[in-house]
Amino acid sequence: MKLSALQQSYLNRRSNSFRGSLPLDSSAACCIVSVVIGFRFSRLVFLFLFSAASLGGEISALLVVHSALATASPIAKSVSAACPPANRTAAGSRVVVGRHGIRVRPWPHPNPEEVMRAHRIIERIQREQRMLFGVKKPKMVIAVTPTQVRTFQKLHLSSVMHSLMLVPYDVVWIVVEAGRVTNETASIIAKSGLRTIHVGFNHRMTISWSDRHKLEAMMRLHALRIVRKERLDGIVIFADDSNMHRCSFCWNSCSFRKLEWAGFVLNSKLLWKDLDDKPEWIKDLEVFDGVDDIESPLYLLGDTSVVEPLGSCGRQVLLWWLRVEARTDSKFPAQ
Amino acid sequence: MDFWKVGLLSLLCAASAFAIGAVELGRHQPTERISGSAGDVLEDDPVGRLKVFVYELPSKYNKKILQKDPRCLNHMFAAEIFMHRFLLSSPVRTLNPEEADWFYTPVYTTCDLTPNGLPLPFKSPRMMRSAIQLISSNWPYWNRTEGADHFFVTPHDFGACFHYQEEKAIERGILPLLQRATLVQTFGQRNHVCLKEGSITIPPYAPPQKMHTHLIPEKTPRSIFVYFRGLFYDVGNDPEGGYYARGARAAVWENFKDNPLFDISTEHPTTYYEDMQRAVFCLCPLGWAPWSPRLVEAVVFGCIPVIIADDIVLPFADAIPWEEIGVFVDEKDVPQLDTILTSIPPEVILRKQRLLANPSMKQAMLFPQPAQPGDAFHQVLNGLARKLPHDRSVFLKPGEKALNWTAGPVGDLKPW
Repeated sequence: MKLSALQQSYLNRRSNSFRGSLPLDSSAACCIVSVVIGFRFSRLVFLFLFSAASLGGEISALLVVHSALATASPIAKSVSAACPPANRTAAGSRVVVGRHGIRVRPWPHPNPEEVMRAHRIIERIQREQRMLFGVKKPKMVIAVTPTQVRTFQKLHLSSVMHSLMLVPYDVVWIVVEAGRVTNETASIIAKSGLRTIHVGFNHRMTISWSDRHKLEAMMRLHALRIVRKERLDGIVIFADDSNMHRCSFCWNSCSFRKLEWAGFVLNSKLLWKDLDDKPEWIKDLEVFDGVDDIESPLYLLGDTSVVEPLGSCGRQVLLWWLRVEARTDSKFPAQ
Repeated sequence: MDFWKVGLLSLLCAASAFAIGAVELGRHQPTERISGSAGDVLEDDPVGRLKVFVYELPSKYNKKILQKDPRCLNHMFAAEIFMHRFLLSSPVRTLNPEEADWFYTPVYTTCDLTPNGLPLPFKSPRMMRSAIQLISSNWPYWNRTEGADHFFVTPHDFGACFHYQEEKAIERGILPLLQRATLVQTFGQRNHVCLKEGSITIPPYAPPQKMHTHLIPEKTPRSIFVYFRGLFYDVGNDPEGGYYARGARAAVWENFKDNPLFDISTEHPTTYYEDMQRAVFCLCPLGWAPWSPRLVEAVVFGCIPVIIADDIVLPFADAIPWEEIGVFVDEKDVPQLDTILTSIPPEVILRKQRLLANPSMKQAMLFPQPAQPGDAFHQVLNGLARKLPHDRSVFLKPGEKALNWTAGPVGDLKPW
């Protein structure tokens, strides 16, 4: 909640001062003072006015302000009435000099329709900014997410889903489910509105952490085989359902010293079988058939020197790991 | 031995050249040409089109005042100092007054500051009057036109009315001795006694170097709909409200302080310049006077200025089509500001942004040191050049008198 404007004005010292003493011309004293102070004032103020000549300008001004705050009497009305009406700046001008009412509309709350129009304007402006200054021909984002039904699945999967929904590029979401395709998982990802490929992986999720890591790696490889089979053209990212992503992750990707799958990005064409100019440093996926011990995405490469950081590597945190899980025998409350 | 000295000197010159180039604010963005009522003139070169003679006055009118209080170099009235410095080294300057088209009198009327750094205007009329008496006594050029081929920089709140309170300024009016001269001033409001026909309205001074150091990447998304930082009430000078900004700023606050579309506050953050570059609209409401440096900042940072100042005359209005660049909102319509801004079609907003992105547009708002082509200095010269040749009525017949040297308030006639 913001401070009131008056409180903030007192804190702000830029303009809270007179610009020096004003000449106290007796014939125009009431107009001058009413202009400066803007108060209807009482008999007491007159005493300060006539003694102001012996005091410094700012001191007398402060005295006047305080006394005016303290007292107000019916005499003030007749005194202020004696001042001439507000002046116009010139003949024919519509602008009036002097005091104006502060216009406040009866119901100041924002109109929801106007708020939505404002957000559409902002979205349109940002689209123009991306067109002008962003990536000229953005590639499709191919997001790979291994998952399984569990107490906290909805929490994590919804989080990564919302991140993907905010990506302003085409997104294909490959969801690989341990065991088999379930209605629980399908009902979550159906709300994304994204193009999804939801497949099962015929191994049930295990309990031990190290076995889980191995199984997840195999599930990711399974997704890569789908990329190859469907000849999807884009940038592959591994969006684990327990990761938190900044939107800019899809623009920038850094390599880490110990490379987690989620920090690794590659062009999907490297996975295609019959690519003409396929580089030699990428291994064919068939090499991994039957292998169950892939610890890192670097295993995909025959030569790790081709890995390079993207963007301003190390300056921004683009991704967090939020590996929070419930006990295996727990259940999420019924909805 | 000497060979290395020459090499080093060349290197220093090259570095200097790069430093100058670095101040350029032009960036790579599709823009539209800027055309005002005077045509496509923002990039005109005034050199060769006019000659200016600079009077040499005693330093008590300019340099000595600045030495006493160097803060005058940083405040929003600093154009009067920088214009003087610019003219002294400009190729349009002539040392031969007989061939001059215009005459310039370097007098710094906004450099008598309070301890808080605000200009005291009370002696300015006497100072200006004294300067005019001096040039008319020592040179013949004022007397032959009584000032009609002279221009003066009067960047104070209400220009040559020399007061910060509008009622007092109106009561005083423009200094009578200046009624034939061309005034170069920040104040501009139609049908106002403090704006003379033929005046050149200029931007207030905003420090170009400082703004340049706060530029952020153009791709940074603009996610703030409306932005404003500044006073809503001037508690010191107008405790009850209604005089300051004619009540318009108070109305902005009272209607929109809780509106999520409006990022408004009196607290000036260290990211003020950065935030302007993330905003779509920047409010530019009047204060005690209609103008403020906020307009310059909005243009430089590409934030569409929302002009809330009835009948305002904006800088270089014949060269810049402000209606196409900004949004004008009547003071009485402030309570409907959200409806007005959200009802602008997105394509219209994008076009305003393209016009704002034009480097010529930004350059015209700035008084850089040293001067650069198309900057505000050159826009003033272009404005003066467009007034040439002088009308025959400029030159008085022998014995003809147009000015009343004893007109104006009695206090202004006292020696300075």
